[in-house]
Amino acid sequence: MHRIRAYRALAGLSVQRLLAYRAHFWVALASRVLTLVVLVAFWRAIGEADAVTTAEREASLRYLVVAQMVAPLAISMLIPMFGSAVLDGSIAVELLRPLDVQECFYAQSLGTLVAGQLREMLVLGVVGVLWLDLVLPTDPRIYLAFLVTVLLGHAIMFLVDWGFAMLSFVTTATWGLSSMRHVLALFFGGALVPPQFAPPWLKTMAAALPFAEVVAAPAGVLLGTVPLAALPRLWLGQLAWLVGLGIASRVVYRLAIRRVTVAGG
Amino acid sequence: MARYLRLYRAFLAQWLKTLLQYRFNFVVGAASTLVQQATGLLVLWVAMLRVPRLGGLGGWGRDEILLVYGLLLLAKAINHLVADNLWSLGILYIRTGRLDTLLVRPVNPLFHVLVDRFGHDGLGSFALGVALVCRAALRVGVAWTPLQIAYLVVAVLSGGVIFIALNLITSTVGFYIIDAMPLTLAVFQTHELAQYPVTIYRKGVRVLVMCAVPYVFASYVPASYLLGKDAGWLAGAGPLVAGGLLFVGYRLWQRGLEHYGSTGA
Repeated sequence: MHRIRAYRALAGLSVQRLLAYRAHFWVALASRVLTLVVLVAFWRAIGEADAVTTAEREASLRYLVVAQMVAPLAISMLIPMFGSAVLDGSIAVELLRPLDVQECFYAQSLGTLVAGQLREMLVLGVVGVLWLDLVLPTDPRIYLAFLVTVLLGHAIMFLVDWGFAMLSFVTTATWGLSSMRHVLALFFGGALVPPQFAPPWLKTMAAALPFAEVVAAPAGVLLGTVPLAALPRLWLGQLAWLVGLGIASRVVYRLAIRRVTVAGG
Repeated sequence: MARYLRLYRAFLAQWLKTLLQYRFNFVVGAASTLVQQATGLLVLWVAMLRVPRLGGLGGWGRDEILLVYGLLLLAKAINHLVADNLWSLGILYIRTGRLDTLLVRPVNPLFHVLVDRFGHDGLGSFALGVALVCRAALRVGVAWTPLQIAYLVVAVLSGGVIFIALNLITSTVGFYIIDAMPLTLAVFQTHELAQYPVTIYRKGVRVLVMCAVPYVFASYVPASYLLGKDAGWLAGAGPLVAGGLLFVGYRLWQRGLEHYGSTGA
């Protein structure tokens, strides 16, 4: 009970931080809207030049709008945040807390999910409906299923980021690492290339990586391409990734933590 | 001028020594930008597989689009290599008062901010940009006269200056609001609109991009001229736009310095 209260407080701090830096939130959102406009124009032009049917073209654009709406899930600041904690030595405070370090960071990322990523998704959804002819489902069960898929996808992304963040113990170039992880997640997650246009090799690689569980899976649920009956299978797949990455992240953390040196100590 | 060139060489030499000391950082940084740019290119390549080789996308063929993309990448890389430190002007120099130390030294403080950190991460992008422009230039079937080669060099340099000047203009707002990064990012992100031929956009967006996004002078406009497409008087406007923006940026920097009141400590 004491631990849960502590984690709730950490998540709350993360929410407060996000609400305090409102300009950052709106600029990030504006840049995502811009990316959405560019991608829709680009793939619309590709669809018009290609021999695909109008229905296929419309489906690909609808997918793209929803995938971009979900894309904030693939963007997180965990890697540079962890990196700066290692660099300035404040990681020592995290290590001394009578709480699990990984769970502390996860609680904070849950706060970011609620106050940042879900809020961005909501605004992007409104943009999609108002300007890009996006039609959202009316069945409340789909939204519930979407939320569960988002939550699982977010946890998968956190564990992947955790692995990258452990590299902070061997390099200070965490900003570059983070940017690289973002584009890889967006590309292999399916936020940049609609499945109607993806070549077989890309589909194979995307299936072998966890990123599709973060972007394409929630997008599929919201679009209805993943029917409600297929949800248990989808969630089992996400859970399998969670278990595998969870074990791997613990092992990597134990190995990485041996290298920590704070203030020359 | 000669003194500043000597100083630039001296600062660069010091920076290289640091890089050699932390080689893994250098490798991670350069690899991360290379992966980011390569992913963007991969999206383009996947899309181009669906487009006819000639005139497929808004009247532009595959290699012609590569030229637009490559030119923008080169301009962006120049900005990254030379002026990446402008991003941190507000947070690292103005908020902390670190700018004071630069103000008492016998060199131009803007020059000092720029040489304080070289964006070596941009080397990956630069190499990729050179490869793209060379490949596209060889395949588009243009007769490369000395005049056109000179135009290409001037266009790339002007493009780089446009990126630097816009970053300078937005960063100087940091003198008044400290953290100007959201504003810098918001303006910087509009370069995405210039990474493809503007003919792919619908009329409203196209007019907006041509009138309000100076980055087109780093990509679409010079590519149009080199490929013999109708660029009109805009073909020669790149250096003027770059010079004008740099002049405005430098004036704003001087005004900002007059306003700067240190941390008050």
